[in-house]
This record gives sequence, C-alpha cells and structure tokens, in this order.
Amino acid sequence: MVEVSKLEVYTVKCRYPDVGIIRNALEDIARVHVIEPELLKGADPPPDLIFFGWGKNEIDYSMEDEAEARIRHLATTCILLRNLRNAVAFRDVPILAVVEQKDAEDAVFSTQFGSSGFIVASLEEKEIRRVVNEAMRPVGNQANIDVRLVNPFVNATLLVLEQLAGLKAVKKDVHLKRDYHLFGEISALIGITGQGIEGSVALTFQDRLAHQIVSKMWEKNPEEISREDLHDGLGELVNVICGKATTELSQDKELNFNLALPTIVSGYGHQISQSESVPCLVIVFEAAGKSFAVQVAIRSEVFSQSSPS
Amino acid sequence: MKILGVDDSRLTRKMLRDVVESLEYEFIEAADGKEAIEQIEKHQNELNLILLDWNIPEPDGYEVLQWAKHKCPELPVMMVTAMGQQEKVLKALKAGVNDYVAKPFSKEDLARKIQDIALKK
Repeated sequence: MVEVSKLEVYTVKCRYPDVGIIRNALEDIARVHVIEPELLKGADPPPDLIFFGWGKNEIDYSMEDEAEARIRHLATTCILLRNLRNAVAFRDVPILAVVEQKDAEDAVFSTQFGSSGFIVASLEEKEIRRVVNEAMRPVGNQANIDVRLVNPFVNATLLVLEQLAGLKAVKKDVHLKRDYHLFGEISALIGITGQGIEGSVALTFQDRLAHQIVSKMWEKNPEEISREDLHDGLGELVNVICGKATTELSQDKELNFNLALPTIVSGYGHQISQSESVPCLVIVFEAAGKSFAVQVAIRSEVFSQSSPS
Repeated sequence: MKILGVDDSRLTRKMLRDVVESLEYEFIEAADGKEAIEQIEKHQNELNLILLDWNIPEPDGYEVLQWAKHKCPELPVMMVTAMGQQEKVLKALKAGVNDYVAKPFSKEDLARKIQDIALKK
C-alpha cells in the first residue's frame, strides 16, 4: 500500500488547547509541529501550512493606557506575521490566523501583513478541516502547472535581469498559487489580453532588492534612486520580461498577446484583482542573495485544453 | 544628426539618450504618442531618425508610425520594443518601419543599427 505523504503544518504562537484541536482535526492528513517564529527562517523545505495565533490574550492590560496596549500588541503581531511571510520567501505557504473572536480590524490587518485567512476560536475540528481545504486549493480552473507557460517566463527573467541590471538570478521554485496575493513590498504588474487569453503578470520584490536592481539599470547608487526612478525601472523590467516571454510563447503556440502599460503597486499585502477562474503560478528566484517572484496568472484556451501529461 | 526617442519609460529614454549621445548625435525625446507627434511636427525639417516604442500611451507606437510615415515619408523609423511577436513586427514593417530592435537591447547593437541608418542617408 502506498503511503500518502502528510502535510507539514506549523503552529506559531497558538495556545496549547488550540494546537491540540488542530492536531486532532488534521491527524490523518498532517503532522502538526509547534514552532518558535525565529526557527522558521530558512526552513527548507518550508511547511505546507502555518497556523498563527493572533494572541489577543497577550495584550498587556496592566498598562495604564488600554488603547496604547492594544496598539502595541497589534504592531508587534503584524510585524511578526510579516516576518513569517518573509521567512517563507515568496513561497505560497498559507498562513491562517487564529483569533479569539471575529474582529473586522484584525482581519484587515492580518491579510495586509501576510495571512491567507482567518479561523475563529474556540476551534472546531470540522471548521478547521474546511478552512484548511479551502486554503490549500489552488485558484483557477487548472489542476496542474503547464510547463510550457513557465519556461518562457523563467528564460525571459534570467536573461532580462542579466542584460538590464547585470544580475545573475537563479530559479528556486515553481508552484501553483492559492490566491492572488503578492508577497513583496513592491510589485510591477502588467495586464495581458489576446484572443482567448486573459491574465496578468507581476514581479514582486522586497524594497531593498528592487532598489538594488533598479539602481543597476539606471547606473546609479541605490541611495540616489528616487521613487519615480524605482517605479519607472520596475515598470520597464516587467514590460521587457513579458514582451520576451510572450514572444517565445507566441512562436510555439501561435498565440497573439497584447500587453497593457505596466503599473506599480507598493505596500505590504497587495492582491491582484483577477477573475477567479484564472490559474496562477509563482516562480521564485534568487538574485544577490535575496528572493523575488514572478507571478503568472494567465488563462488561455490553448493551455487549459492541452496540458502536457 | 537629430534623433527623437519615444518611450513612456524614463529609464529607456535615458538608455536611448546615452547611445545617441555616445555617437555625438543630438537627442530629443517624447514620453507618449501625443508628445511624439508634437516633437515630429516641431522638428520635422531637422529630424533624421525616430526610435519608437510600440507600447506607449495613446496614440500608440503603431499609430504614431502611421502618422509619421504619412507626414514625413522619408524619415526613417526604428521600432524599439519589447513586443517581438511576428505578427506585430510584420505589421510595423508593412507600415514602413525601417528597422527593428527588440528589448532588452545592448547599447552596442543599437548604436550599430543607428549608424547603419545614418550612413544610408
């Protein structure tokens, strides 16, 4: 009998009773570990899923000013969540925040800082299974990654980055996305249309790497790069990468792509507005010792009808 | 020799300027189709070459190309663009584009192509 491999699930800052319920709920499909946040950095392979305790019980009510105590807790929790997201380095690991009661403010903050969803304590096993199934399901109507769609973007990214910025990047990982969130601090997006084609491509970076790349493109020092220089450079990068990749794709499949003008989105936790049927994959790269990702959300009749086995 | 570079990216305009000025030619620029048409009208008697991106705000590069070829049929136009699809390149060639450079381009290649066009004049 073939043993189906279990999911590796980490719980971070969750209360022990909650960890027990999660363990029971997922015992046939997952191994559940309790992890200190700092141990997550560089975890290789990364976990399949993380439960993150929002921990309102940790608010220091002994402080004189209760509002100040709440803000402090919120700030530390958001920073910790962001660090968790950064620690998994653009990999699409769902992070589910465990909150004690449904709180719209917490929900907004948690998704802005990297969580994929919410689960409300006291936890129920059935609800945990439902939320986990939902979080693990890829977006779009395609069950597999079509390599014919991946390789042109990998090739274009490696070539363009070297040619425009003199940087050698390495492809680290490719996976299907479970939502359209971008995990970088700044992203360059471009819409793609054509006959039977719909979608977008995004490059997403941490600010520091974005500055480093763009400063090389401008042949300036990173500290001399203005916001306008940064936006312009990233826009050109996504434009040229998409141009190159769609050229390769159109030669192979006789597809006709049209690229929109690039746009730049900055700030943590942004998401692309996309029709839910569009499959989304992310290609993680490393350059200058830092990760970045190219997120490709394209639906094409050609790719959905004739996926390779 | 005066060359107009049309691209919505400031970075690309800077790269075009670097190449053109390294050849000791004069460089003027436009960031969109409207500005490109204004520049062509203003400098049409002294302009020797247009370096034109396809993917610019309206009117797009193709429309600027058609307008320029109607207004100044002898003025050479080089498409400098990320869109390397055969159909679009053919469309540009049919509309009278003299040469084509795909992004990302090397400064040396672009300089060579500009020189080729300059020498033909």
